[in-house]
Amino acid sequence: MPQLDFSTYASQIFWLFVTFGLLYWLVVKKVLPSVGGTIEHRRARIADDLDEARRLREASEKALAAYEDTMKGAREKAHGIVSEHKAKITAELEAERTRIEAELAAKIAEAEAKTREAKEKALKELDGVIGELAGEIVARVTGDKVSEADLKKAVEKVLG
Amino acid sequence: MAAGGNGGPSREDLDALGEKLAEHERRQAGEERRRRRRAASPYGFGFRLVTELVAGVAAGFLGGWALDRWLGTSPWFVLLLTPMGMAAGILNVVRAARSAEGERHLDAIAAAEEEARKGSGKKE
Amino acid sequence: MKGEAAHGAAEAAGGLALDPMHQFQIQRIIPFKLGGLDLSFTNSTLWMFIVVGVCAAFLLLGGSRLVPSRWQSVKEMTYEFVAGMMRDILGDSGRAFFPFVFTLFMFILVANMLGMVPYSFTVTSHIIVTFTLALVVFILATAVGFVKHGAGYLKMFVPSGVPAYMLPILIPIEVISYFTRPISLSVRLFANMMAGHTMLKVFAGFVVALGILGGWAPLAMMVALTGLEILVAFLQAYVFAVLTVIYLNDAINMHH
Repeated sequence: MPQLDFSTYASQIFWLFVTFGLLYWLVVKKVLPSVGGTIEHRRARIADDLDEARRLREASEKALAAYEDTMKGAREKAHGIVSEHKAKITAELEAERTRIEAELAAKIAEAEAKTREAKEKALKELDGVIGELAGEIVARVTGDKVSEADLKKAVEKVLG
Repeated sequence: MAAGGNGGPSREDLDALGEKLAEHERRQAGEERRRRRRAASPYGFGFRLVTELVAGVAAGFLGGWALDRWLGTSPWFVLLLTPMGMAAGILNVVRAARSAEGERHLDAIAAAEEEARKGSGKKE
Repeated sequence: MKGEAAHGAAEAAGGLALDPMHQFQIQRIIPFKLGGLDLSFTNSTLWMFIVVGVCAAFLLLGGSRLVPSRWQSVKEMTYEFVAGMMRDILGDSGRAFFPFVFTLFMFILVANMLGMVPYSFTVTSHIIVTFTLALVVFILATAVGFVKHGAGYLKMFVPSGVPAYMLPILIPIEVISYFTRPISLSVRLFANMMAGHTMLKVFAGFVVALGILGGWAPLAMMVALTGLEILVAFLQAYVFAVLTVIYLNDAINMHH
């Protein structure tokens, strides 16, 4: 087994130290700054970006909440104003309506009174006309002259 | 009530961003666990146990031989230290097995956590 | 010298039959002696330099951009792999040892991998190389333990929770157990590399011996074995690095 050939040991140990030391030196001087540095840089960058994203998210969350609050307030206020106006307008309408109704009722009552008056007057005049007409008819039919008082009595008797 | 529509950030956008951030955190935690869970292959593990035993005997024998040579007490230290080396080898095997047991234990915990996480994820 | 003789005999026996041990032969390229020590530049030395060269090329080329190229990703994955492993075992207290562990891992990994190339030489298939590496690790860990804890580091050998009359037996056992570390560490790597590569060469010998007609079965076997060997090459480098970190952890935090 070549592995047990002691005569090669010194050379292998010596060169192992040389090459391993060389690689160690390379790792410390070159690899760590470049590879390790890049990884650290990237990690810091990603962590920063994530923090920033988180911070911005929280800020937007807050802004959104504030916005929603404001919106809610405004909506409530608008709602209040609208209903207030609505009530006012309703009340005004109601008043106008009652006023007009009252006016109309008064006008109707007046008109009715006038009509009644006219009717009564007409009826009263009708009594006289009927009496005259009846006297005329009696005179033509009988040739008699009927006194005005009798006529009136007779008409009143018929009309009642 | 959706508040967007005018180009500003909407509730959905924010929720999506939050979900992404949380997802990133979860993934990182998972990676950490997975790294801890790397178990040795059974072949390598068996070989390790055998070498521990052989190395124990070898160390005992070599130590005894060196002491005998130094103190001129041949063969007593070899006779004394070789069995002790065997015992040391067995001790090392037990320790290795126990640490492997511990690793498996960690495995089980990690698996349970994974399961629980999946379960709660489904409920959401 | 014996090995060289055997090698010569194998060649005399006919160039076709490949001696599976031949690949482990050390050959002087530039003989060189210093104070009675044979420090010749050998094929092993050459491959050690090739290992360093490949490591350096892998680690230094490929750029270092914020958004990595594919090569850079692999490179950074390797770096993160070792760094993550160290973080898991040692926490942040072991950052000072990262360059050492990373160098160790890269050196062994590349040496193991280069050993798969036909006609190459596997540096890590020699026990003296793996043992030297293990011994460096062992001495480093022990030194760290004594620097950190002073003489208190010797308490490491006193098992806790056992009756006092057992200590005269248990302390020597603990001491021997401590000293088995470099042995098991080096033997594991060496034996894995040697066994795997010998097996590959044996099957390669079958392929050559059976020729085109019968060589397919061992060739398929060789392909499968090569896959396994790549895994083993990686695993052994990883195990070596992990155990190094575990030993350092024992020394820093003092528990076995």
